Amino acid sequence: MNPDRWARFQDAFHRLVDCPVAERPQMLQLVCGDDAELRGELEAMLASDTVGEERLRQAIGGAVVHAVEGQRNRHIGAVLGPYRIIGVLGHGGMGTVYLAQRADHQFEQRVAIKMVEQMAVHPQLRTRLRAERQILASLDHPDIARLVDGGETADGVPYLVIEYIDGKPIDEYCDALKLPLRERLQLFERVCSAVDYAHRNLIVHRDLKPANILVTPEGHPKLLDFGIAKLLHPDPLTHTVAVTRMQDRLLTPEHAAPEQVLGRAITIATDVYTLGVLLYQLLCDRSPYALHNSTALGLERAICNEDPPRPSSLFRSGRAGAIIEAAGFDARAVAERRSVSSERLRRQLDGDIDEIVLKAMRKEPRERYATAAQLAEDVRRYLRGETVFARQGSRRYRALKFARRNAMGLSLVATIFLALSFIATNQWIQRNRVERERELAEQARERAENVSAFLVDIFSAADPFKSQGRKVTAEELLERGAANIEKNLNEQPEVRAQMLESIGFAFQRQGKSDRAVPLLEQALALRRETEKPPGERVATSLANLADAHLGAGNLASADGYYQQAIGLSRQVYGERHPRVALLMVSYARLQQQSSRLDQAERLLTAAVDIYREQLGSEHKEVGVALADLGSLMLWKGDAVAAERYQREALAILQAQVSRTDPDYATTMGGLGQTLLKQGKLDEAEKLLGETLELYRLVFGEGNPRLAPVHGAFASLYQQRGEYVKAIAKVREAIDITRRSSGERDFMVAYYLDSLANLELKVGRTADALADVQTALGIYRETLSAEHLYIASAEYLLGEILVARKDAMHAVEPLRHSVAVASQAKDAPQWRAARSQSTLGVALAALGQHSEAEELLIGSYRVLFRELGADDALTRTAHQRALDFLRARGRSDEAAQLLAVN
Amino acid sequence: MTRPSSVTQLLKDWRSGQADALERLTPLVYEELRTLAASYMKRERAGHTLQATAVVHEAYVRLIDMDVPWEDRAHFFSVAARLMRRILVDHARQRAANRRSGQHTVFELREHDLHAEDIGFDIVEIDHALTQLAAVDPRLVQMAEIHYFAGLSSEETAAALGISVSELHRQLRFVKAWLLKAIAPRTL
Repeated sequence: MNPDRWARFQDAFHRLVDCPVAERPQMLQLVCGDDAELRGELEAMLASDTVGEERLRQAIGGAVVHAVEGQRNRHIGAVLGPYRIIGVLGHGGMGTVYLAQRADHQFEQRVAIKMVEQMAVHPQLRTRLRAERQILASLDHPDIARLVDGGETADGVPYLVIEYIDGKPIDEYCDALKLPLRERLQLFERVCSAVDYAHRNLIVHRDLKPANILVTPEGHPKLLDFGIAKLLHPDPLTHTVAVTRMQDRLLTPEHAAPEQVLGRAITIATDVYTLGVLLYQLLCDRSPYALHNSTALGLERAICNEDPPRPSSLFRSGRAGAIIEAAGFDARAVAERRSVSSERLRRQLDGDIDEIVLKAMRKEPRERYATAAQLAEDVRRYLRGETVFARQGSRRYRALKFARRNAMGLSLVATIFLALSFIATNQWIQRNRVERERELAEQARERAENVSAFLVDIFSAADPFKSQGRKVTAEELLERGAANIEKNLNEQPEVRAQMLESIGFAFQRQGKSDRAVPLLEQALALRRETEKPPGERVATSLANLADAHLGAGNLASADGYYQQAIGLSRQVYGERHPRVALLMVSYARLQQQSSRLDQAERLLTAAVDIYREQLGSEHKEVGVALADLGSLMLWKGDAVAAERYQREALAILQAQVSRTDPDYATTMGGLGQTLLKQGKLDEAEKLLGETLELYRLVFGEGNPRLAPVHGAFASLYQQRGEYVKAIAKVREAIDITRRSSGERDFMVAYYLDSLANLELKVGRTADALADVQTALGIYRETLSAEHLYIASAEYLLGEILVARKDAMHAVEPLRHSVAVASQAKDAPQWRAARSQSTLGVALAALGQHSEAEELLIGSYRVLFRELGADDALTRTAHQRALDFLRARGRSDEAAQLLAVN
Repeated sequence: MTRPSSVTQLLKDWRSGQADALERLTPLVYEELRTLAASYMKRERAGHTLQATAVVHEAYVRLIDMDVPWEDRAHFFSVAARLMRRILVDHARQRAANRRSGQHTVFELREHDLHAEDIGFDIVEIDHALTQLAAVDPRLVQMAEIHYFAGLSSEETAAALGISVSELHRQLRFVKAWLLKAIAPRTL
């Protein structure tokens, strides 16, 4: 088809598909006339238009499968030493495991051969295979697969020959035989002992999962695949291995321990954790975080922050059972594979077994069983009917964990559950007030029940039928909760207030303050109605509302609420109560944003004093307040003081909170910013990088809190002159801000302005022009016309236009920029001067030489005086003035005219 | 694990005119694809259709340094998509040749075996149709390659081609209809 005809053909197709089916015959007639060939083509196109795209995707998907399979099978038939490969057993991140047979038929021996074929891409796999060989050679245990041999193929691919285990993965084995609980535990206990044997040989397996534990038809478990196992440091006190996060990425995420996700030290406690996960699966037929595996990040977050459901809770009947069932868990079928009823299985698990599993799976390695042998011993104690160790200390652990939770308030779901815990605490506090005990406890119980019914309702949104097979996000749950409050709990103001507050608070923690404000307003109104005279609850509501208004940028409203909250809290709790200090810290943030810096400093210093006095100088809150004091100092321009406060804060937080605590990351980010200001770029980069990683883990990709960190990175790269990298970072900040705050948000303009500046530096002036114009448009909508940001953006616009040789359009914005910058009260003179210098260039290009000369020379003098000769702005202005004079043939005068006095 | 810098470097070399950089890129893309596809197949034990696009996309993401500016990435995706098409077609041809010569592998695919007969056509026919289309409209072929073989999202594909998402969808509708017409699957 010639180009014209092709264009006509395409156009006709689009017209046809755009018009209703009923009108297509007429349209066909219209576009084809008597061109029968075109008509035929188009009719065929319409026929295939009805076929779904999946057909193409399926064909391509099939080709991928075949390509992969084919590649994998290419070694079949190959002979390696005395072995001939006859099949494929499995394929993993490291290579393929083949089934092989002795080629000489001398013995009837089958072996597994592990071959690493991806060496071309991953040269370090060779080292790892060598390590595996060394590890296997040092292990001699009946329940661990033996190393038989090793070597290299003719083309240099290394391989290991390992005892072939004709068995099933342990979970499949147990299910196939419908093994009851007791026998599963006996088998598991043997696995623990084999793992313990490896530990005593200073080897951590790191990847214990059903696929790596086969059970022979005779019922012997066999541990396989030490592919990512590690030799422990021989120093018995440390017993850790340094592993990078990258290496651990080879792990199956569902089985990873928190320290693996976080890239922390791996010890034998890591294997204890994964043994706990294995036991969980053998008992319940599902992995502990089965509800969270929609994304790798969600799963990682769950592993680090959330407790798995107790095994017995999965077999509960009634409403709770119905929810779990709706999430795809068939308790009856699972119990049947253990040869018992689901109720009986629940009773078997409830208590000792729950505690054993949960103790093995504690988030903190030191809270787990110290060794696999201890875990094995506890299982044996249970089997003998003795008291298990796990029961001791579980109450203390829960109390401690509650305290930590309260302090962290990490994830959304955790925050919602916090509402429940909160009620439980209230109940506890109130019980101690003997005179009102019964009445209040009863009320609290009732509230707790109402709230849990409400939560059940929200979470049933996770029902795949109601949500059309999508995974429901935490945010959707919150929105749903917010909508339900109105409908369901109208008649119970206390409960309603509680839920409004929890959901508002959760929105607030997610950085969605504007969603939080109306909910918290309602909560406060309800609190005022129900609590007379106003006390703790009203004070708490006021504080939350003040925080939300601050977050949403309503400074005046926030100010009023803070004052009320502080006043009431002083009455209710006392002048020097930590709650008062907490409010002072928040109020200081507001003062800082309102540029009342001294006021903010006084508040923070006072808060630090109260905390030190009431909580001790190592307390987390001291760290948080010091961190704020640090960022205040940075704002004031005192980077040295800022660094001192921030380092002190970071040291306290490091000791007191988990690495995933948002305050820890925020403090680290603050220190990063300070170092950036001081030009200590390498350390800043390290801290900011870690901040970013933690934010991603804690808040999720795309959360508004990530934007300023990307912004800081951009400025870091800019300082290093790596403009392209800086541009990528600013774009990320812009994307995030646009998604979270809207296209026309002030911060979008702020980042666009930086972007335009960078684009100008790399010569992409067309992009720069478009971006700075968008930024200016937004500034003009959100700021007063005399704001310095507008002057600054107009200066940039002028620079860009001059670079594009469009002097004519540059004049007006530059004149405005000069006017605004010279009128501003506190602005340094260089702001007006840099615009004047650019304006001078523009006017010179337009032939207005006398004004140009005045501006070029005058602005250079100002810049020289204020910023010094070495500043980039001064040097540019100098060069521009020189160029101008030379072009006029006045080189001789230059020195004299440019002299600064 | 991966050596993103080396891929990025090869990409740069190729962009600056070193033709053999493309040849050196091929095995890297290929190996990464293979590793990933295998892990996807393991995850999809239940026997769902393998999401080729997801595999391929993940392979790219792992291969290239994410700090590479988007313009370079877009070019890379376009090259890699072409590469992917070639790899898959070569394999399919090889496989067909083996079949004809009676070579059978011991282990055949079980859950994932998607027979050309079920779908009505295979990759070789898609390839042929794309080659025909390239004679008339190479730009549409580039679009189809990025869309079907590189696993980019609509937004990313549109960005790579410098068009709007709605324009992309419009043109893809044409491409899809054209390809299916050219292939004329037996079961249509």
